[in-house]
Amino acid sequence: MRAPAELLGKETLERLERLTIRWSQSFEGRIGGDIVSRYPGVGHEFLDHRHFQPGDDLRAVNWRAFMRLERMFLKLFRAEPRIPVRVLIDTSESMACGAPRAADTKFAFACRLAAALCYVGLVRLETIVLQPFSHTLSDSFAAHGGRLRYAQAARYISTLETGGGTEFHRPVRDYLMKYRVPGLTFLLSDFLDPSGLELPLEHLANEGHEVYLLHIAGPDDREPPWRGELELHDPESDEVLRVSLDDESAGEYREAYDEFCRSLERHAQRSRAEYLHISTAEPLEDVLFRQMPATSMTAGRVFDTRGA
Amino acid sequence: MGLLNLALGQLLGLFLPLAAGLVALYFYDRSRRRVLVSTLRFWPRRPAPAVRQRHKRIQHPFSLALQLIALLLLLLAIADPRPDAVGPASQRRAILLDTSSSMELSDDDGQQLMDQAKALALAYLDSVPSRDQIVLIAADGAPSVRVPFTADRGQLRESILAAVPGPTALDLAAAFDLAAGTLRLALDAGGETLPAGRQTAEAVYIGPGLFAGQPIRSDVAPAVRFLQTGQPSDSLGLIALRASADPSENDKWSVELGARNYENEVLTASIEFFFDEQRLGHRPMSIPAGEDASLRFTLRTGRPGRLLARAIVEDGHAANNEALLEIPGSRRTQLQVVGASESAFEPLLASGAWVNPTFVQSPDELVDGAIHVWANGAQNARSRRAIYLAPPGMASPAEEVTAVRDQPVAEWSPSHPLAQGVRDPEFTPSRMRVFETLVGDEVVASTAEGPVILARATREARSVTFGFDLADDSVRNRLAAPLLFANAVAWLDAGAFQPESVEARSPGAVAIEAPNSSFEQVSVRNSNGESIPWLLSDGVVRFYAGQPGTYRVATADRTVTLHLDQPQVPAGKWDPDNALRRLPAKTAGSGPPGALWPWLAALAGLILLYDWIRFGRGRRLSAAAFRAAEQGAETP
Repeated sequence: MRAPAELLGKETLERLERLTIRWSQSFEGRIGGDIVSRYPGVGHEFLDHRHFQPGDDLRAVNWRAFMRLERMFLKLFRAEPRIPVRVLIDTSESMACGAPRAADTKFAFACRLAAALCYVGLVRLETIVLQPFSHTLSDSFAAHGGRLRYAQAARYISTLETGGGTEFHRPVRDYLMKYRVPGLTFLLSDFLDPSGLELPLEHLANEGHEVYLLHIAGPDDREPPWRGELELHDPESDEVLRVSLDDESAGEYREAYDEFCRSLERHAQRSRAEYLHISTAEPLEDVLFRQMPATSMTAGRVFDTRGA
Repeated sequence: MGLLNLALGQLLGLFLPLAAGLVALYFYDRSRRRVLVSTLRFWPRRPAPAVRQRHKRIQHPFSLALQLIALLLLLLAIADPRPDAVGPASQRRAILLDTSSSMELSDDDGQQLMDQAKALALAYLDSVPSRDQIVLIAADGAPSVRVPFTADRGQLRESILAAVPGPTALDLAAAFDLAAGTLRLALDAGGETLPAGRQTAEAVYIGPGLFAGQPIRSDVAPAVRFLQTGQPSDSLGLIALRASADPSENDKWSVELGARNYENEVLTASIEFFFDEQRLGHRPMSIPAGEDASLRFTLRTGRPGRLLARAIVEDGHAANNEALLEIPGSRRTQLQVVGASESAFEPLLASGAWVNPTFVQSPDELVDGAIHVWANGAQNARSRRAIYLAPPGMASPAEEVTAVRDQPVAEWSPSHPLAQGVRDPEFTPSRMRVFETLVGDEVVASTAEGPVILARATREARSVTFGFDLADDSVRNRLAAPLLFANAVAWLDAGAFQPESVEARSPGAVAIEAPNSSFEQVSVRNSNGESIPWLLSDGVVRFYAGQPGTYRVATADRTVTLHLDQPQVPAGKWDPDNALRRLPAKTAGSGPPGALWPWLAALAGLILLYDWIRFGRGRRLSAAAFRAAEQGAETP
């Protein structure tokens, strides 16, 4: 299953410009992403001037030079090491389930949510790493340089496809080896790894990563709409289960699922991570502007709406 | 048991596919479906209950049977079964409900006959089997089918209750002919008469039996029933009031009044006459029992007015105790003679009393509406209707070719109205002008030298040109002279010599004597001037006036104005010997039809509700509610 071609609308993008990614723990010596300091960027030390081009940040314009020469020059600063922001996107086969329409699946929702996180970061001149994974890590994409680079990131997300099973041990191990500088890690997944998430989550926390678990679930994942004789098929393991589902069995299923969600939340608390259960039946805007800003349970907030 | 809306084959044809579809849906609902899920880790992995394993194919056969039964019941409700359809084949019946003018009357108890007839008709409907097909015929002067053959009692009742008396008398023979025809068509009987001996058809007449016209045949229907209402308390009825203008004397009308006695003894009544609400006087009238009588008198009046005749009797039908007639004003043809003395024209004016001549010396005194007679020697001029008598050569409407003296008129045109009746071979004016004819001129008379009388008709004007003076001493005392003059006046004014009469009578079939008329000379128009259909046969003009109103009939001889506002009175009373005279006895299938479909539909609904509660989602809902109640009770 491929990601949707159109991820976010223009109005949603305009509203996202009012948001900022925040973190709660301290990362020594870093204020932003991974870009080396010989390049100009957001910093405090002046580096050079260059001509203003449309799309440049007006805050960096040298207005004194403009008053004197009537030409706009942009002040360039030496970029300083920033806190890296990385988004891990689950592309396993289970993400393609949970909804009758392809546009309503967990994977489509995760792609749109990743695009929103990417845009918010780009607006604030952060560097965002998009890292898809299933049982292994796939090729990543690093987006930086302001909102003009969002189009490239969106095109990259649209090329993603589902495949493989859900597994966290190997991808997390590879992730820790690939990105040794700790930072913010958003984990977008349905977390349906049969071997569990507890250990990988502890590894991430021990390496100094600030982790946000965004648990994406479809409406059918908690409330199966079917009744009667069913032949259930798991796309990741190709396992088949024949059940006779009535309301009583559906209730047992719901209790098991809720217990799974509660265990995830407990693991997250134990690893000082943030956990948010997101249903794809809810509008993405509601998740972005209401649920995620409201997750400041301990020391920080995922988003600061700043008047949104 | 019979089905009203569906045949048995149609019912089965609907039930079988629907039942097959229902069973297929049932199996589909019970079949195992393949579902793609995100994971299997949360699904309960336990063996299926024993009852589910045992009924792997059909888990709830009783539920399926209930649904099939409910489907069959719903289809039966649509088919509308009627238990009263048991028994012999349905009969065909024709109800002839009297809606003639007599039904407006009341009997001695003051109850209107129409109400009695409606009550009898409704009682008849209730007494015959509900499966019988009944046609409702409104019987009056022109019987018509109100409701075609139907078993729908509601429609029949509605039409019976909506029936009102009409203006015409009952034509019972036509009504029974119509009933027999409809019964014959309904029974598909090809012969002239209905099959005898089989009680498959019945014609029932409901009314007092008073009719006009011909009595009915005895073999009109195999079974005839006569449900008689009360009899109207009517003793005398004015049939017609007629006034004819006297052709010999102006402003003189001959009035004739016809009346009928309905009593069984001689009736003497006083008839009062009014003209424009002024009482003229009264005349006694003695009428033998059950017969007609007439009264004649002369009325002299030159002005128009309303002549009212009123019988001084007390009975239940006041409407036919009066007759009203509108007398038109005197109609005279104005004739203005220029340049001649009254004494010289006196013989010419002896042709009729409806010509009003005046003699003027100057053309300035002429009026437009009159016929202008230009005498010999008068100044010539153009008029819309004119008679020229030996006009001078320079001002003549016809060019003079030559003049002849003491020569008789050699030839008369027999087809021209101007020469009608003129056959005088010795008609020899002392001097005659011979004319040249133009296009449109018609030669009325001619000598050996040429035409001497010409008639000319255009769209705007008509004129007659005589080559001689009709008032000349040589011809004025001959018989042909006033006849020629009268023909000329009549040709110029079509109604100048036509006798006129006015008549008040009842609407319905009208017959006017017209012995000398051809089709071209007859016209029948209503008060709006619209021509209505008529028939001329054996010298009688016949037409049917179904509605009251004023009709004008013009024939070659006369003009008759008919005021058809008089209530029509019956001429006879039907008293059949072989007809049944009471309501039929109620049978098992009589009365309002029993409809089973609401009960069937309700039963199907109950079955479906039970199935839903017992086997469907309702069971799960009730179980959930029970569990919720249990949990609520356990919670402290």
